[in-house]
Amino acid sequence: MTTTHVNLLDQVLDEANRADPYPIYARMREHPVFVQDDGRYIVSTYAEIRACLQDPRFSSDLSKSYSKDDQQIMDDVAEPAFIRMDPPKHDWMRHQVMAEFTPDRINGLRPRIEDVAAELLDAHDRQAQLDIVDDFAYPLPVTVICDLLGVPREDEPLFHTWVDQLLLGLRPGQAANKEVMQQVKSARDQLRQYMDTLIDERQKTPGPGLISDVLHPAGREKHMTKGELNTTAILLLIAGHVTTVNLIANSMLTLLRHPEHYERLRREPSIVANLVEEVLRYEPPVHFARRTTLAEVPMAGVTIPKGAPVYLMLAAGNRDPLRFDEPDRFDPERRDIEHLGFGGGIHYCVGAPLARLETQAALLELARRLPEPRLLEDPPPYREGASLRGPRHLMVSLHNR
Amino acid sequence: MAGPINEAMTSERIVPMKARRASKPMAGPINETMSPERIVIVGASLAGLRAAEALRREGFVGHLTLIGDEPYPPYDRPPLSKQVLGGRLAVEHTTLASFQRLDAHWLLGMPARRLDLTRRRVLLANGRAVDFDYLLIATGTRARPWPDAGEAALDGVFAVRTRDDACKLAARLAARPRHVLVVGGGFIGCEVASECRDLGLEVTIVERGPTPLGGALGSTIGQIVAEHQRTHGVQLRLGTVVTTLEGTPDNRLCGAQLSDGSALEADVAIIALGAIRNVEWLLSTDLSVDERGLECDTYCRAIDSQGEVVENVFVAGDVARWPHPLYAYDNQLLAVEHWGNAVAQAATAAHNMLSPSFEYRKHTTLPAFWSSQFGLNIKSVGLPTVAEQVLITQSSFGMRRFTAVYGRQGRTVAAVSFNAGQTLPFYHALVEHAAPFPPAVHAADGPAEAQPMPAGFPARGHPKYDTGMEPDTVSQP
Repeated sequence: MTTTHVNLLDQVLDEANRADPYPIYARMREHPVFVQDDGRYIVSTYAEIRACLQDPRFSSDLSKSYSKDDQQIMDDVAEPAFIRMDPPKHDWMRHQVMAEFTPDRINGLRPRIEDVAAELLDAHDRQAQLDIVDDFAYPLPVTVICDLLGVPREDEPLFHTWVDQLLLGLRPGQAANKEVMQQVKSARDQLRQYMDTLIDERQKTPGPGLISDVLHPAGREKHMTKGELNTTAILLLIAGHVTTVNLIANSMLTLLRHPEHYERLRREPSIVANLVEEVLRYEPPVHFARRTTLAEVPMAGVTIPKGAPVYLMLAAGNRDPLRFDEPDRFDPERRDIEHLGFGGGIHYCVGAPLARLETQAALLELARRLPEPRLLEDPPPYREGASLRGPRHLMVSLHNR
Repeated sequence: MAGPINEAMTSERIVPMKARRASKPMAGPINETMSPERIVIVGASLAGLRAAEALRREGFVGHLTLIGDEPYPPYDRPPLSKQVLGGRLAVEHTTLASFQRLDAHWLLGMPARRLDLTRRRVLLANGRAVDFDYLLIATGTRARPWPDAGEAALDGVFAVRTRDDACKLAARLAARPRHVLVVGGGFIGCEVASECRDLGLEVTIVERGPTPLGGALGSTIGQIVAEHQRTHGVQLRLGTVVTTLEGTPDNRLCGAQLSDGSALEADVAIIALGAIRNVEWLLSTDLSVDERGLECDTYCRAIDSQGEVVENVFVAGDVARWPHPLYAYDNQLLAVEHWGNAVAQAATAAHNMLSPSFEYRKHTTLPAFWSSQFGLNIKSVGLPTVAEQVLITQSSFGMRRFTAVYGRQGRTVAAVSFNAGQTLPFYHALVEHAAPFPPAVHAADGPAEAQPMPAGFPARGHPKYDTGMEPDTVSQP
C-alpha cells in the first residue's frame, strides 16, 4: 500500500519550522516509507534509512532520477563531486581523497585546532557578548579546512559569498527558480575559476596541503584530472566547514539549553567525546540526504519505483523511538548511540574524524573559558537550509568574566 | 594436597577458593526455577570471558570459576597471525579487556582432564576437582600439529595458535630467516605469509587445493586471491603437499620435500593445517561428542548420546556444533571457528543458563568472519562452503574492490567482500532471508548481466561444512 502524506517535506522546508522540525519528523515516522502527492518518497525511520544507505540500488547520482528537479540540479553541474556519484567511479574518486585523509594527518591538526580555538576566544576576551557562530564556530573550521587543503586563509572573504550562494541552490524546489539558479551558476563559475588558479599555482610550485599532495602523489598509478580535482577540492572546502560550523553551533545551543550538562563538561572534560556523538544524534548538522533508485525497491510495504526522488530523513531516524530509548531526551551519557549523523554506507562522511576532533576541541575550549554563558535569544535565528541546518547567530552574554 | 596452584587473574583481586561444602554425589535433578549457585566455565579464552561477563551482567551472584589450560588471562587471537608477527603490536596488548567486574575464580594453566556429569564436577590435570551446578564448555580448538613428531620438533617449525606460538615465531621472523615455508593456504597461512612479505622475507605457500583460501571461499574467488598474492611476491605451490620436513644433523629445519617430487629450502616452516577440537576430556562422558565437536541445541544446551538435552551443561565457541536454522540441510550441524560466533554464542549460552526455558534465546547469529592480508580487507557473511555457485555483483578498481554472493539450490547462502565491507550489510539481509539466487542487485558497479560461476569448493577430502576439520593427517598422494 502506498500512503500519500501531503507535503510533510514542505513543512520541513518551511522556514517557520526551522527551529523545531521534530514534531513533523514524528508525523513522518508514522509511515516509515511514503510518497507525497508531489511524487517525492520520504524515508524517516531508523531501520529503513539504514537499509537505504547500505543498499546498492539507492544511487547518489541524481541524473538517474526521473524527477525534472533532480535532473536540473545535475545538469547545472559540469562535473559532479563524488557525493553525487555512484561506484565504480565514486570509489576511485573517494579513494584519492581518503588516501590523503590519513589518521596521522587528521590527528596532526589537533594542536593547530586548539590554538585557533584559543586565539578566537582571546580576540573577544573583553566583550560582554559573543556570537558563538560568527566569532567562533565559523572561523574555526574555515581556518582548519584552509590549512588542510592549502587554500590561503586570507581568501575566505572571497569564497564565503560564493559558498553562501551555492548553498541556496541545494534547497529542494529551487531548480525552477531561474533567478536563484542564475546566482548559483555565477557563484559556481567564480568558485571554479578561483580553484583553477590555485591548482595551477600548486601544479607549478608544490606547497603545503592536500591539493598539492594530490597533484604530486607518491607513486599512485592514476591522477585525477584537473577538473576532477577542482570539483573535489570545492566539495572538501564546502563540506569541510559548513557542516562543522553547524555541529559546533548546535552543540553549544544544546548545552546552553541544558546548563547542567555544560557544568558537567566543565568539571569532567572526558565526557566530551560521547557528548558530541549525542549531539550528532539529537541535533545533527545534516538533516536529510538525497538518493534515487536504480531499480524498483519494495520497502516497508511501499514499492519505490525506479528513478524515484528519495529523501532519507536522517534527523528523523535519529529520533526514532523504535531505535533509541527516550529519543527526544538529550543524554550525553547515552551508550547505545549508533546515530545517522554522518550518514552511512559507501558515502559515510569522509570528514567524520576531523569533524569530531574540531567539535570536541571547540567545546572543551568554550567550556574552559566561558563560566556561565547565557543564551540571549531562544530559539536563535536559523540559516535558510533545512538539511544543512544550524543557527545563523548564537548570541550569549558573558556577565561573569 | 593438590599440587601448586598456578592462578592468574586479569585485573582483579585473587579470591581464594573457599573450602567446598561437602559435595553432593548424585545430586537431584536441576530445578530450572532455582538459580544456580556455582557456575564453572571450562575454557578461558574469548567465549569463556564473554560468557562470564554476560552471567554477571544478567545478575548471577554465585560462585563463578573459569578454568583455562594456558597460563594467561583471556587474550585476543586474531592479531597473533597479523600485527604481533610483524612487531606492530606487543603480545601483552592482546589481553582482552573485561567489560564487567567478574569476581571470578580463575584456574589458569590447568587443563581440564575429565568431566563427571553424575557428580557434577570437573577434574583437572593436577588431580583437583571443581564442583558445579551449571557448566559452560568453551574449550575451543588447538592447532593441528605436523603429523611427524620428530619433524615437528625441528628447530624452525612453528604453529600459530597461542600467545607463546606467536611470540616465538615473531622473534624468529625478526631474525630474518632466508626462506619461510607456509604449510597450508588457509586464512592463517595466508595472513602469516602476508606479514612475512611485509617484513621483506621470501615466502612459499604450499597448498593442497588449486588455490589459496579455496576451502573457505572456493577456487573461483581463490583464483583472485592467488593472483593478488603472486603480485605481492608470494611463491605459490598449489595442488601440492609437503611430504617431509628435513633437518640438519643438529636438528635445524633446512628444507622440505613436496608431493610433486621437488624439494625446497627453508629455514622456517609454519604449520597452518587447521585446528583440532579440544574434546578429549569429554570422551568418557555420555555427551554427543567426537572430533567434529560437542553437539548442542540452538539454545546452546549440550546433547547426550541419546539425543537428549543435558539441562545444566551449555556449550559455546569453536568447540560447539549446533543446528543453524538457515543451514540445517540433511540434519547437519554447523561448527564455525569465528571470533564473532564465540562472542554471540557465549552471550546466548549465559543468558539461557540463568533463564527459565520460556525465556531462552536461540543462537541463530549468521556466521561471519574477516581477514586482513596483502592489503586486502576480506569480510564474509553466511556460509560460503555450502555453495554451488558464486556471482560477482559489484566491483571497482579492477578487481581490487568487489563483492560476490554465493548460491545453493537457487538461494543466496553467503557473501564475501574484498575491500568493500560497507556493502556487506545489504548482503547480510539477502542471506538472512535466503533470497533467490542469483539475486537482482542492480548495483551501479554491477555486471551488465548476472553470470554465476561454479563456486569451486572441493568435492572430496574436505568437509561439506567449514568445521575446520581436515583429515587427521596430511594426505599423502
